[in-house]
Order: sequence, then C-alpha cells, then structure tokens
Amino acid sequence: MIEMVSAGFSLLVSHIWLVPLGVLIGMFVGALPGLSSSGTLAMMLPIFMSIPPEQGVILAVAIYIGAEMGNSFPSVMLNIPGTGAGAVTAFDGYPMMKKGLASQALGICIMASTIGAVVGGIATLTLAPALGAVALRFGPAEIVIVVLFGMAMIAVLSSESIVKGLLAGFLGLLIAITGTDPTFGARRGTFDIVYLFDTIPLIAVLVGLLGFSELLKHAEQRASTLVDPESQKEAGQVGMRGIFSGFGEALRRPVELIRSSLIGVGIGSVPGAGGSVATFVAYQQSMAFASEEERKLYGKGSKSGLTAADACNNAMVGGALIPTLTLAIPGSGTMAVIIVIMSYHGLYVGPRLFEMNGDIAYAVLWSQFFAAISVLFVGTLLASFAHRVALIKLQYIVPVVALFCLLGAYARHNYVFDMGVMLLFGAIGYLMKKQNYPVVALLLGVILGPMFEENFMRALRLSRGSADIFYSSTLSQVLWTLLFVTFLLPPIVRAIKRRRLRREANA
Amino acid sequence: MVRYHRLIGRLLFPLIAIAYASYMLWEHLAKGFRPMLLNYALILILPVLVFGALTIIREVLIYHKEARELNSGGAEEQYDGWQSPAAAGGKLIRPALVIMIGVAFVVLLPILGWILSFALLPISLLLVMGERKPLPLVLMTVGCLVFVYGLFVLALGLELPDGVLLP
Repeated sequence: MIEMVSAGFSLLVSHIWLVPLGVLIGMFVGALPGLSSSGTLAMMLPIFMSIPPEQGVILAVAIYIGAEMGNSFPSVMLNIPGTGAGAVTAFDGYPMMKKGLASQALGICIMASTIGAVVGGIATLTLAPALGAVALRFGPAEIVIVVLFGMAMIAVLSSESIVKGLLAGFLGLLIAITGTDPTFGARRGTFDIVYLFDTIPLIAVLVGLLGFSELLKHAEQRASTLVDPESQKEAGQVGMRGIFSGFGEALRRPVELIRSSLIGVGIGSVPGAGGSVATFVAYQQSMAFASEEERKLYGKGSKSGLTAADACNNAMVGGALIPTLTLAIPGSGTMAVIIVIMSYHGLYVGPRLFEMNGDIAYAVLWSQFFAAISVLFVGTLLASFAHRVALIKLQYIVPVVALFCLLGAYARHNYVFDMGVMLLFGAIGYLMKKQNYPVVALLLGVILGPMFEENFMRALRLSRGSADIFYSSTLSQVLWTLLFVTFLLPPIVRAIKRRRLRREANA
Repeated sequence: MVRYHRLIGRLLFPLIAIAYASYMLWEHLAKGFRPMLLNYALILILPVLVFGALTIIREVLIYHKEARELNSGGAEEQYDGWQSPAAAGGKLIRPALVIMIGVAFVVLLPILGWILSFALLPISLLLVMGERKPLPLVLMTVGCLVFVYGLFVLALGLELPDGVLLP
C-alpha cells in the first residue's frame, strides 16, 4: 500500500500544473450562478476523454474544489449563490460585506475552504475504505434524520416569531413538492404549466429569494454604493490586509473548522445526501454550540457561521470521493461524471480500484492537498480585486446584478420561464424582508424538501408503512441521539452557565 | 384613525401562503389523488393554513395595539420596515419599476431576441436608478452585450432566444 501511495504522489507531481489550472476554471464556474461543476465537467467530457485518465481525473477534482470555493465570491459580494450550499455562505458573508468587511469575509472563505479541502484529503487518504463501509449503511431512513438536522434550523432561525418562521419553513416545503410526485407520479402544484412538470427550478428560486430581492432593496435606497467607503476604511479591513485578517479569524476557530470539515466528509460520503444538507447541518451545529452572544450574530455576519459553511463545502469533495473511488457509487453529480471519465479510459471502477489502478486513485487523493494550496493562492489573488465591487455605484450595480440573476436563472434549463420564476420569488423575498419574515426558512424548505420527501416516502415503502424503520437500526438510533443532544445540550449548558454567573454575581 | 393600508402590507405574505396552500388543497381534492401511503402534500398544506391564520391574527392584534398607542399619544410610531408610499418618499416606486422592467424583459425576450432585450435592459434600469448621462448609458449597454455574448454565448455555448424579429 505504501508503494501505491508514493507512486500516486509521483504521478501527481508529474501533472501538477493541472491542479492550479483546474482550480482557476472551477472558481470561474463556481462564481457564475446557474453554472454547476457537474454541468461544466459534463460539457468538458470530450476534453477529458482525449487526455490520459490520470490527467482527466486530477483536472476534474481540481475543478470541483475550485467551484466550491468560487461559489463564495458572488454569495459574499452580491448575495447571489450559485448552489444551495453557497446560500449558507451568503447568510453571513453578505451581511459582513455590507458592514465594510468584504475582504475579511472572503479571507475567511478562502482559509476555511483550504482547511476543509486539507481535512477532506486527510480523511480520504486514511479512512477511505472504513468510511465507505459506513456510508453504505445509510438507507433512506437515516438520510431523513440527517436532513432533519438541517430542517430543524427553521425553528432556530425564527428569532422574531416562531409562527412566522414555521409559516415560511412549511411554505418552502410545500413549494418544494411542485412537479411530479417521485413516489406515485402524480403532478402537484404545476398550474398545468409544462415547465413545472419536472420540479420547481431551484436555482431560479434561490437567485430570486436572495439576489434579486436584495437588488430591489438596493433600488429602494438612496445610498450611492453597496457599502459606505468611509465605513469600509474605518473597519480597516480592505484589500490584502482584510484578506489576511480573514485568514486569522478562520484559524482562530479550529473547533469550527475541524467539526464542519468532518461533517462535510461524513455527509459528503453518503451517496444522495447532497451538498446542501451537509452545509446546513454544519451551520446548524455551529449555531447550536455557539455562545449566547455569538448566536445573535448568526445570519447577521457571524464569522463562525461563515467559517463553518465554507470549511464544510470543500471537505465535502473529499467525502464524495470516498464512495466514488471505493465502491463506484458517485457521492454527487460531479462524481458521476468522474466515474464516466474513469470508465471510458478502462480504469477498474469499484472496490478493486486501489489494487488495479492504485497509483491513479492515490494521485487523485493527493491532488486535494495541492488543490487546497491552489485555492489559497488563486483565491487570494481574485479576492484582492473582488472587494472593490462594494465601492461601485449602485446605479451600475443594479443592472449588472439583474443581468446575473436573469442569466443565472436561465442557464440551468434554457427556459425563459425560469426567469419569470426568479422574478416572482424576488418579489416574494423582497416582501418577506420588508416584513421581517425569515427568507432563510423558506429557502431551507425549498432546498431540503425534495430530498426529505423522496427518502421519507422511500423508507415508508420499504417498511410497508411502518414507522419502525426510522428508529430500528443502530445507525438511526445514534443519529436520533445526536439530534436530540444537539438541540437539548446547548440550551442546558447555557442555562447552567447563566445560573453560575448569577450565583457569582450575588455572592 | 387606523390606517388599513399598512395592515394590508403586513398581511400580504401570510395571505399569499394561505392562497397557495388552498390551491394545493383544492387540486388534491379535485383530482381525488389517494396514495397507498400517507398523503405527504396534506401534511404540509395543513400547517401552512394553520400558521398562516395564526400569523394573520398575530399581525392584526399587534397592529391594533400599535394603533391604539399611536392614537393615545403613547409609543412612537414603529412600523418596522414598512412605510406608506407618501412617508417612504416614493421609495417603493423604484423597486416596483425594476420588477416591471424584469417582467417586460421576460415577456419580450422571445419576441425581440436576446440582442435587443439585453440592450434595452441596462438602459431602462440605469434610467430608473437616476443615470442620465449618455456615455455611461452607452458604455453599460455595450459592456453588457459584449459580456453576455463573449462569456455566455461564445464561451459557454448558452443558447439564447433569437426572437421572431431576426431572420
């Protein structure tokens, strides 16, 4: 095995130039809403098939890692995430940008992504076979419990009124069932519009709720720029200085980094669990274990929340590689394309990959570390210019953001209808923001709803309608225990701390 | 005197939610969909209706409480995030115009084609945002067209509608 590991390292070093190239392409793809890494890799398949397999797979993984980081740029600067996972970055990254801390926010994203990719690499190099076996034990019932971690955030996010939050959350879940029932094939909520027969266009909803609604708020303001240049100078965090301070902020949160990265690896290794789930769970866990004062900042510019989101996003790549390389089960859509590349070149795709083509498999695993270093350098270079977006006059920002929103909604399916959906949800998001309804709760329901329903109904069919399936296996019992501990333990710890402080104050 | 137009603003979102849930309920009843297992959609429709109604009751009660305090010269006016058009100094007019321009864009895109539509979009938005100088209008329009064509059409191969006006 050690010979294979070192052979893989030597193979990677001979093609090392592909890693920064892939990261740069990936960042570019990730920064454009409506473009996904899986779609881009699928478009580049002719290229992958004409180059040697080790080059193809190394380039593909580097593009994936770059895209996960690149998604953070529009999320932070314009509140336009390109994916569901990127939406979590926008929760705290965009408010930080509005406070004049754009460079610091991007610095946190870059360092957290780097550490996440490194942890993902370490986990895959050391634990791939073991984690692959555990991932196989996740059935639909277990995935439902994992999704509940993310959905339970709805209650936590409803700071002003629990009723408003639950209304928004359940409405999001209801909107998510638009389309064809995955279990019985009936059409629901389609208004007989053919473009809704498949499902509601998620990217259009996302871009509308977060990006276009923010654009409408900018149109309302009399301010001249996104951020007051004086407040940005006062914050003292501009350009490279701000980026390096962001590095420091991320590194000062080692628990956040490691916990979120491990969540990303763990959930990323579960086929079908999806990237959005992992990021929401990492964010929820970060919020659950935060102090009372820190909790108030979540959704308003919390550095811990931002660190958790981005560390998880990139660690997920390592997690998704585990079932892909060990079991030939793609951990995500992008991994499915990687399996196609490997199969085309005649590589042994399955449990014996490490035995038959071990040098290529280990080269891919090693490439994560170099991709992490590339993210650090390429990301820093791009971020040193990106903060200037905040100083552009609003009258020029509004048309450009509108363009991005419309094209982002259109790019996924090439339907003009999706642009209309984006506008509708933009108006709804604007209304919600004006009346203090939590937009994030609606977003959570829309993003996690389909996965929850599919696995929930699949589990019930497997058990012929019995609810036992949700708590009969050891793994599901462990997950339920973790869920309750996550929700019950932090308030208990906080209550004990408050009582201790009161006793000390009275003494 | 209670100004009801402000109350309507607060109730818009729960009313939209209730209307959508009611449509989904009607669709289920009209189609007679009877799954073998539980009806997942109904599990979601009922909470939306219940929480929507509770939200409306809550907002009406809060509104009347604030209106009473205002009329009795008590607490200062606190309409968090919502002002009448007059008080807002026409702030809502620009977002409304942006939405209207967006809708017009979506409707006209298949007719006019992407070149004309993406040319008119930045011009109209810049005018709404108060830009009147010709040079920025021209530069932004040309810049947007070059950006859309170079990046999305040429590099990424995105197919945008040509429209019926073009041959």
